[in-house]
Amino acid sequence: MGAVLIPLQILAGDMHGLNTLEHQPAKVAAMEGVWETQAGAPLLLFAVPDQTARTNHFALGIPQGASLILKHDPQAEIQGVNDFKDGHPPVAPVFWAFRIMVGTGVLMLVASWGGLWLLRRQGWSAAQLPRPVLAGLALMAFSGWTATVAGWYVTEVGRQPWIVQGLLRVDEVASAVPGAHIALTLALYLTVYAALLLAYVSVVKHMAEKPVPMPEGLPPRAAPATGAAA
Amino acid sequence: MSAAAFDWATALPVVFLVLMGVAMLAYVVLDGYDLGVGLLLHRATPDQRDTMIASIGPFWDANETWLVLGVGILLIAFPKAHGLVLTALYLPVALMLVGLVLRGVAFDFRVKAQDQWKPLWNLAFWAGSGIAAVSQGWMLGRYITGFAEGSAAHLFAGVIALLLPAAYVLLGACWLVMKTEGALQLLAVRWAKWAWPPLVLGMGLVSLVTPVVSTTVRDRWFSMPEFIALLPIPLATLAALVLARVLLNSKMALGRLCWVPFVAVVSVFVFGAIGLAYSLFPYVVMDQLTVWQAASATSSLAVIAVGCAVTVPAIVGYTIFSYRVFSGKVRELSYA
Repeated sequence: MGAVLIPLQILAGDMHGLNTLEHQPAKVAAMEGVWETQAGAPLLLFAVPDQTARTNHFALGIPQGASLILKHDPQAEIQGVNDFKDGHPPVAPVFWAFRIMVGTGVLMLVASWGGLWLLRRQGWSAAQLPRPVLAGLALMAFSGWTATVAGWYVTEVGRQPWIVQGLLRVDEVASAVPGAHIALTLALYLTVYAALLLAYVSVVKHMAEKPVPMPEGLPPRAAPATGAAA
Repeated sequence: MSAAAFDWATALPVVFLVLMGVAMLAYVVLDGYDLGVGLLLHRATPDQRDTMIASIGPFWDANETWLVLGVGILLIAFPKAHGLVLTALYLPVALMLVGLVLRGVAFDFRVKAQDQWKPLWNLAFWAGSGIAAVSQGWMLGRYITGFAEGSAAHLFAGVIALLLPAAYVLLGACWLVMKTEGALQLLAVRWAKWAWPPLVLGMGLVSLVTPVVSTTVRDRWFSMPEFIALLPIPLATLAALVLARVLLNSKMALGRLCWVPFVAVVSVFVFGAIGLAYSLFPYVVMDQLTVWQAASATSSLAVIAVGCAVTVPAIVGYTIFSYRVFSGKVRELSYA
């Protein structure tokens, strides 16, 4: 199912990206790490954005890639963050969260298609897959959340300093609740959720390892063919 | 056309106020009994705990949708009141949510996690219920005085923070009297008797303090023709309280009349809410903000009304449906 749905998700992601470029260009500029407006902007695979120097260090990219992806034209001009005089989001968190999201998505595509290919070679018997592959697939169980949370950071941090794009700034609508109260509740939620995450992973592991009791009245599952041969 | 006495700008905010009030009351009564059951959990044997949880299992999360509806209406229909109330109650709301999170997770995990962790999840369920109930009590106490400053007002909120959980325990115990049999039912009768005096104390305290704090409330209740006309409210409350107590003392509560104490206590909550609504109206926040000052634009309210016309009947419908399906005595806890 993942093998079919993930390419669809990537297509939806492309459409979403084009929509964001139209309505929140500063967010896209931060996602791509583009400081100065330029034609044929490169698709950066790696870089360390530097907010004070307003440039990227150790940049490694595919020439004209960003222009190609965003405007489907390798020579197209991409607006840089320096152009947004009313304020723009911090570049590094948006840039990195976006790479984590896309990277996880690519990993999902590789895992689902690769898994399908390996499974076919093993005669559709999951138990026959090599252990490292199974362990890797088990780890991929968390990929959906990782990608979703990273995407959420892109969209929320990328919106800054606006809460409603172009209309309302976050500092204009913040409540009068004292900062100390916010810090206290944030710490409280982080603690509770860290504990719950730990409990959750442990319970999921426990449930995954627990044999499924067969409902009464159903015949016991047929023994695997290889077992009969041995 | 002649000038109509009726206009939407006046009527719609009142409609939403009534809807919000009903949603909040439904939340307090419905989640009140399941919070109460949670608060009683540590007093029962492990087997009884499973029965207690099973008795609220089909209902508890649907019960919480009423809170979402109530606060949702507060946000979209009365944004100014939402800002004022939730800023004033920031910490207790945050704490309540932690309590509800713990409870919600513990509900599932106590049967799904490894056996050795079950006592810990039971503890989390109990503690979550307690945190949520105490926070709600504090909020009610602060709200009733219109967020008055000073140590007396905070002391009052502190006392309500302890009495509301006791009221929830009474609701929860009466729920168990209705839904269970045998040893657990007898135990529930005992719990209900303990929790009865704090509820009486709480009702009395609120009825005394509100007229003292607010001249608005005093004038409303204690001027002459009104006083007589309003007398049925406190009298009916008193009658319901006495009825519940008398039944709990007799064998009848164990048999066919096992549902009467629960219904009597629920009606105490309903009368209390009617009294409070009469004290407050037209204020959304006592003596500070009226329903019309707090309301959204009439055209916004009209849009929201369309949404509510769909969602509210749906919520009411599935609530009635689930209570019909799961009526009668509770059976084994059968999901794991």
